[in-house]
Amino acid sequence: MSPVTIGIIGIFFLFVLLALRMQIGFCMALVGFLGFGLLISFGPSFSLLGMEAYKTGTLYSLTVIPLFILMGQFANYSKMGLEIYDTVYRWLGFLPGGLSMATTGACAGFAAISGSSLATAATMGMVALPEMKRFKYDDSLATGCIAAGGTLGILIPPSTVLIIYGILTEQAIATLFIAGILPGVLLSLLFITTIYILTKMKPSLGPPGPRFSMKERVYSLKGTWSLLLLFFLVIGGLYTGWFTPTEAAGVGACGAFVITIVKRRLTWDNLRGSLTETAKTTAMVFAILIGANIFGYFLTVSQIPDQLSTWIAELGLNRYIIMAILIFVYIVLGCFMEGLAIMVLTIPIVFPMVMEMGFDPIWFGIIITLVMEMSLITPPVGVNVFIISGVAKDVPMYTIFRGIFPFWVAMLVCIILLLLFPQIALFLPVTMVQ
Amino acid sequence: MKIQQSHHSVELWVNPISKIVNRIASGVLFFMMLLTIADVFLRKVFSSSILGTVEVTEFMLLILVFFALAQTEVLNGHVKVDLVMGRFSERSQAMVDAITQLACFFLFGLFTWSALVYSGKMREAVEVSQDLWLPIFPFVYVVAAGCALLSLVLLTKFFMALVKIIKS
Repeated sequence: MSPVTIGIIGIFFLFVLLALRMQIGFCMALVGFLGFGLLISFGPSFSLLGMEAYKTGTLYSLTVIPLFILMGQFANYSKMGLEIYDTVYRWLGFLPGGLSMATTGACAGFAAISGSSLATAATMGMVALPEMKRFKYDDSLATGCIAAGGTLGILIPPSTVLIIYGILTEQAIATLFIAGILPGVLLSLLFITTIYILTKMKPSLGPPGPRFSMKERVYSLKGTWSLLLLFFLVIGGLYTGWFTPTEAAGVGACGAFVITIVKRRLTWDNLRGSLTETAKTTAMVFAILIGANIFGYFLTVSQIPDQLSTWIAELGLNRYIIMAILIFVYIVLGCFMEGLAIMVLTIPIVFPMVMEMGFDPIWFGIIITLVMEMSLITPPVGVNVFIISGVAKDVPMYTIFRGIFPFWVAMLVCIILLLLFPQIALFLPVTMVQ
Repeated sequence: MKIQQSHHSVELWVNPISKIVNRIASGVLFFMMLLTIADVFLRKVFSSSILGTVEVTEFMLLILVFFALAQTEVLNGHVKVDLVMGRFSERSQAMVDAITQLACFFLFGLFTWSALVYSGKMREAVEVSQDLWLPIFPFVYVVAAGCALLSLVLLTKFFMALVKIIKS
C-alpha cells in the first residue's frame, strides 16, 4: 500500500474512533502511533510517544495557555463581567433592543480579558438573561444574542483558539492577537446592527429598557477601570513589544488576581476553583496538542498534505474559489464537531495548501477563528447553545437556534468582508513595534 | 459481582490519588504565575532576572499538565465528539465505551513505558538543563507517572462500562 493510502485509511479510522466517542486527543495519538509505526516502523513510533509527551509538556511558548486561562478565571470570580454589563446597560439600555445591544457590548468587553467563548457566554447568560426577561424581551433574541456574543471570546484577544493556531502553524501569538482586535470590533458592530434591524422590523422583540441620566451613565464608568487596565496592560504590552506573550499572560493572570483581592472577592474557594478549573482545561488542551503532534508525524510521512497541495494547484482554480469551498467545508464540519477538534485535525492538512495559494497566514488564522465561532452556535452540536440552554432552562433549544440565525448571517458577512478587505485583520499587526 | 468489586477496589485508590496530584498541579500553577511576574518585574525595573526562570517554568508546566491529566479524565474533562453515540441504547453505548476505554488504557500504558525508556536514556546520557544544570530524567518520570495514573483512571472507566453492560 502506498503511504497516501495508509494515510487516508488512518484519517477514516480516526473519524470512526471520534464517532465512537473516544477522547479526541487520545484517538489522534492512537492513530498517529499506529500509522507512523506502519509507515516507518514501530520502534521509532514507540519512542515518539514518551518523547513527544515530554517535549510538548516543557515547551516554553505553551505556558501562555494556562496563564491566560487563569487570567480569565480570576476575571470571572472578580465579577468584572457583571460590572461591564452594568455600564453598557446604562448607556445603551434605553434603545429599542438596547438590552441585547448592551449584552453584545458586554460580551465584547469581557472577551477582551477572557480567551474562552464558553466562559463569556456562561458569564453573560447569568447576568443579562434575567434582565432581558424582566423587560419582556423575546426569548429567541435574548438567548441568541448571548450565544452569538459569547463567541467573541475567541476572536477578541486573548484567545485560546488563536494561541493553538499559532502553535500549530508556528505563527507569532502576539501578531495573531493584535490581528484579532479589528475583526472583533467589526463583528460586535455587525451584531449590534443585526439587533437594530431586527427590533426595527419587529419592535416587540426587544422593548426599550430604562433611561439613565448622563450623571448616572458617567458614574457607571468607574466599574470598568479594572477591565480597561488589564486589557491595556496585557494587549498594549504585546502591541508595543514590551511583553513577550508569556510575560503578558503572567502579568495578566497576576493583575486579575490582584484586582480580585482589591475588589474583596478573593475567597479560598474562589482561588481553589480558579486554579483547579485552569489545571483541568490545561490538561485537556495539552492532551489534544500531544495527540495532534503525534498524528502530525503520521500525516507528514503519509505525504497527504504535500499531495493535496499539488493536486489543488494542478486544478488551476481561482484561489478565492478554493478558499470559499474551504470555508464552506469548515462551516459544515462545524455543525457536527467542536471547533478545537476541527482545527487540530485539519490545520496540518489545510495550512500548507493555503500557504501554497499565497494567502497570509495571520489573516487565515482570523478566518479560521471566525469559522470556529460559527461552529459554536450551529445545530446540532453548538456548544455555546448548550451552555445557554443550561442557564435558560425554560427556553426550548429550537428557540435558541432560531434566535441565532440572524447573528450567524452577520458572521458570514464578517467573513466576506475579511475576504474582500484582508487589511481589516492585517492593518494593526503592520503597525506593531517589532 | 467480581467485576463490580474490582471496579470499586481500583477506583477506591485511583480517584483520591488523582485528586491529590491535581492539587499539586494547581499549586504549581499558582507558583508559575508568581515566578513569571517576579521575573518580569525584576527585568523591567532592575534590568536583572532570576537565573533559570525559563527552564523552571517549563518544568512547572510539565508538572501542571501531567499531574492534572488523570483528574481531568475523572471529571470527564477530555473533549469527546458526541454525535452518533447518543442515539444508541445504553447497553450498546456501554459496550463501545468498554472497547474504546480499554484501548485508551493500553495506549497510556504504552505512553508510560515509552516515557520510562526515554527517562532511562536521559539518565544514561546525563542530560541536564541549560542554566541550573538540573538533571532531566526525574522530570520525564513525571510524564510517566501522569500517564500511568491516567491509564488507571481509564481502567476504572472500562470497568464502569462493564458493570453497566451487566446491569442492563
